[in-house]
Amino acid sequence: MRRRSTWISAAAAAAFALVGCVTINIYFPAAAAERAADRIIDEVWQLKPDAEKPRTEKPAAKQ
Amino acid sequence: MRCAFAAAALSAVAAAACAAAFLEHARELSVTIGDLETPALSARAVSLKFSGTGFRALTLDIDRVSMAGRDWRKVRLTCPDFIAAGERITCSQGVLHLDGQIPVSFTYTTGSGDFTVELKPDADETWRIAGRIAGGKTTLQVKLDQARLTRLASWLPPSESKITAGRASGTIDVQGTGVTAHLQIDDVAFADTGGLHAGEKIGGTLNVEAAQKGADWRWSLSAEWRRGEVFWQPFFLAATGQRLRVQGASSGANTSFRDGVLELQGIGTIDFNAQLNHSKAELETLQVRSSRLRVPALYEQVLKPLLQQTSLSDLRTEGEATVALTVAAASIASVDLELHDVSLEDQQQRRFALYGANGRIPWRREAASAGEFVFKSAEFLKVPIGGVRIPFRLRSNGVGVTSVRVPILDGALQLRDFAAGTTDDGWRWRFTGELEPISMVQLTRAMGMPEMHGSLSGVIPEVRYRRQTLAMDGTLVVGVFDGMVRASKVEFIEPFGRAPRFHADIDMKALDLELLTRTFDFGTITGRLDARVSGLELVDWQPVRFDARLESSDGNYPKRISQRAVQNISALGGAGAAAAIQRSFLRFFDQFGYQKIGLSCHLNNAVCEMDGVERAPQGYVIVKGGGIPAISVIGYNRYVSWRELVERLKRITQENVKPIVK
Amino acid sequence: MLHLTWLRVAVFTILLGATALAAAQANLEINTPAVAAIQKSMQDRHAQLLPLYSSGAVGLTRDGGVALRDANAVPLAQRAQVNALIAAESQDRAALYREIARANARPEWESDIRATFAQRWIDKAQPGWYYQNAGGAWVRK
Repeated sequence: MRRRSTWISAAAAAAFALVGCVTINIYFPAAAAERAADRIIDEVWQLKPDAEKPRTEKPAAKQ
Repeated sequence: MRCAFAAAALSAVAAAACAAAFLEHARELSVTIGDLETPALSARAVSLKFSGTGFRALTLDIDRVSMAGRDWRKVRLTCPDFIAAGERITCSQGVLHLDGQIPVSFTYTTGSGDFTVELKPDADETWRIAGRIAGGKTTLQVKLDQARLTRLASWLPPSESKITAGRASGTIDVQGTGVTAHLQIDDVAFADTGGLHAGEKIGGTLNVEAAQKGADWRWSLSAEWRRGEVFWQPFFLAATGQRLRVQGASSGANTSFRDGVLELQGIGTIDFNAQLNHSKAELETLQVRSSRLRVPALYEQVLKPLLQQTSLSDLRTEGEATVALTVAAASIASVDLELHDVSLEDQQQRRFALYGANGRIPWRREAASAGEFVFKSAEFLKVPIGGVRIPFRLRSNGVGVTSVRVPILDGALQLRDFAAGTTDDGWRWRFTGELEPISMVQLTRAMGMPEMHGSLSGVIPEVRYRRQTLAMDGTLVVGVFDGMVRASKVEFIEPFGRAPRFHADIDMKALDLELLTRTFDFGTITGRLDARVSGLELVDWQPVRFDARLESSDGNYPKRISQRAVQNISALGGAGAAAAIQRSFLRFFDQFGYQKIGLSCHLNNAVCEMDGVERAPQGYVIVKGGGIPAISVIGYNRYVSWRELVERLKRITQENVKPIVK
Repeated sequence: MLHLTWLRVAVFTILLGATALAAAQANLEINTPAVAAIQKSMQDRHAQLLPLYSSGAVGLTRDGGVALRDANAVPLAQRAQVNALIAAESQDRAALYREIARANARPEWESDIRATFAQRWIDKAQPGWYYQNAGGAWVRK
C-alpha cells in the first residue's frame, strides 16, 4: 500500500511537472520583452548616449 | 422696361442685344435671361445690364456657371466700352470677375460666327482664342503665351497625379475634326499624394496632330524632354534631350501605339508598339526592341538610381546591350537580352569584376530555350578567374547548366548539373562539382591573407540552396597544409541575410605543423596535427558553439617545438606562464622535443571549457615533453571567456613581431 | 500520510513552476552575435532615416516596421534611395524579431516580439513623427 502511494505520488508529481512545463512553454514574458525592446531601441535610436554599455561580458573564467 | 425670357441657346444674348437698340431713351436697360442650358455648359440666373452713355457699359451677372463638372458662383463680366454695331459686338477692356479679376477682350460677328476672346489673367500671361462657330466647319485657333497650366488642373479628369506648376506657350489649331498643337512647356511640376510619381521643373516641346474619324481619333505625337527630372517609382530620370515619336489611334475602349521611337541621348533608341485597354488600364500587348544600348550611359542614367544600397551601386561599366521584350495578354511573353563586350567593375571596394562578357539570353514564358554566356576574365574577392563559356538551358522559371569549368589561378572549379529556379518559397539552386588543385600560396596572396602553403582541391558533393538555406550533402574534402580537411553536415542559413548562420563538422587530418605554424607566425612546431571541430556554429561569422580538439597525429616523425611556440602556447593560458619560461634556465634552448600536443575547447555561452592531452595536478597537459631537452606546458584555466582567448591570440600574433628580450 | 505527500508534491510543483516563471520573466536573451550584427546595421542606418522620420516621409508601421508615407518631402533624386533604405530597414527589423525569438529558443514568440517592438518603437518615437494606428491610418505623434 505504501509502495503504491509513493508510486502514485511520483506519477502525480511528474504529471504536475509536465503541466507546469506546458504552461511555461506558451507563456510570453511581455515585461521582459518590453525591457529588451527598450534596450535595443534606445541603442538604435541613440536615445540614451550615456547609458551603460549593456553588452558586458559574463564573468570570464574560474581562475 | 423689363424684358424677360428663357432661352435654350447662347444666341439669346444676341437677341437681347437687338432688343436694346430700340430703347435709346432709357438710362439703364436690364435683361433677365434666366437659365441657359447647353450640353457643355449651364448657367443659372443670367442677367445683363446696359448702362452709361449710349448703353455702352455692359455688366453680365451669372449666379452659377457649370462647365465640365466644375462650378463657379457669382460670375460677373463688366465691359465699359461695349459696342454693338451692326453684326459686330466688341469689348476691348472688359474685366472678368472669377477667382480674382481677369482682363478680357472679345469680339463677335453674328452673321459669320467669327469671334475672338483674349484673357490676360497675369501680366505676362495671355490666352487668346479666335475662331468661327459654324457647325461642322467650326475653326478655332488657340494661342497661349506663358499660360499657367495650374488653371487647367481642375478641368483634367481626376487622377492620382496633380499638376502643381508649369507654363505653356504655343498654338492649338482646330479645323473641323482635326487638331494640331505645337506647344512649349516650362517649369512643369506634378506629384501624386504619396510622392511615388512626381516631376519637377520639366521643360520641353510637344507637337500633336489628331483627326477624328467617326468615334475614333487618329493621332501622331512628337515630344522632346529638355529640362527637369522625374521620379516614377522605382525609376529616377533626368532630362537629357530624350525624344519620343509615336502614332496611334484611340477609341473609347483602347488606344493603340504604332511606330513608337524613343531616343535616349547617349544610350540608344527603343522602338515600340503597344495596345492599351482603357477600362482595365493595362497594356494588352507590347513589343519593344532596342538598338545597341551603350551600357555606361544606361547604367548611370537609368539603372544606378535603382540599385542604390545594393552591391551593384558603384560600378564602372563598358560595352553594349540589346533588349527586346514582348507582352501578350497583359503579361510578359518573352525577353531577349544580348550582351556585346560588356564589362563591370566594383569601383571602390573591388569585390568583383567581369570583363568582356558576351551572351544571348532568350527567355520565353511558354517554351524552353537555349542561351550562352561567355566572359574573357573576371575577379572575385581579388582572386582572378579565367575565361569561361557557359551554355545554358532556360525555362520559364529556371535555368540549367550541364557542365562548366571556371579557371581560378592555376586550378579550376568544375561545376556540374547546375540547376536554379524560382518556386513559391523563393529561389532554389543546386550543383555538384570539384576543385582542381589551386595553389594556396597564390590564392592567399591574391586575397591578401597570410601566405599559406599547400593546395586547395577537393570534391564538392551536392550543394543545395532552398528556403534561404544552403546545405551540402556528403563531405567536402580540401587538401591543405599537406593534409586533409573534411567538412560535413555543412549548412548555411540565410547566407545573404544580415546575420548568416553557418553549421558544420570539420575534420582535419595530418596537417603539416611546420607549414601551419610558419604561416601564422606562431613559432615553429614540426610534426603533424589532427583536429576535429564538431557542432561548429557560427553566427555572423563569430563562433557561438563548437567542440574542438587539436592533437598531434600519431606516428613517427620529428617532434620539435621552438621556444617561441612554447611561449605562445603558454600565453594562451595567461600572461604569467610565458614569463615563467623566460625566468627559468629553459630560455637558453631554442628548441625542445615533445611527445604529444593536444588542446580542446568546448565553446558554449561565450565560455571555452579547455582540456589537454591528459590530466595534471590542478590542470591539464597541453604539451607533453619528450626527448632532450623536454618541455611540458600545463594549463590551469579550465574556463576561459572566448573573447579573452581571442584577445590573447591577437596579442600573441602582434607581440611576435618583436622578440621578447629580458 | 498520503495527504501530506500530495501536499508536498503540490508545493514542490508550484515552487518549480514559480522558479521557472521567474527565470523566464527575468530577461530575454538579446546578447547574441546575430542580434548585435542586426542592431549595429540598424544603428548605422539611423542617421539616414532620422530626417525622413522628422519630415514625415517615412512612418512607423503598426507591425513593427517602417513604410513610405509621403515621399513628397524628399528631393526627387533621393526618392529611390529612400525606398532602398526602407527595404533594408524592414529586412533588418524582421530579422531582429526572428533572431531574438531564436536566441531564446522560442521561434513561436516571433510575432509577440514583433508586436512588443511595434508598440515600443511608437512609444519612443519623437513628437512629429508618423505612425500607424490600430486601423492602419497614419497619425502624427
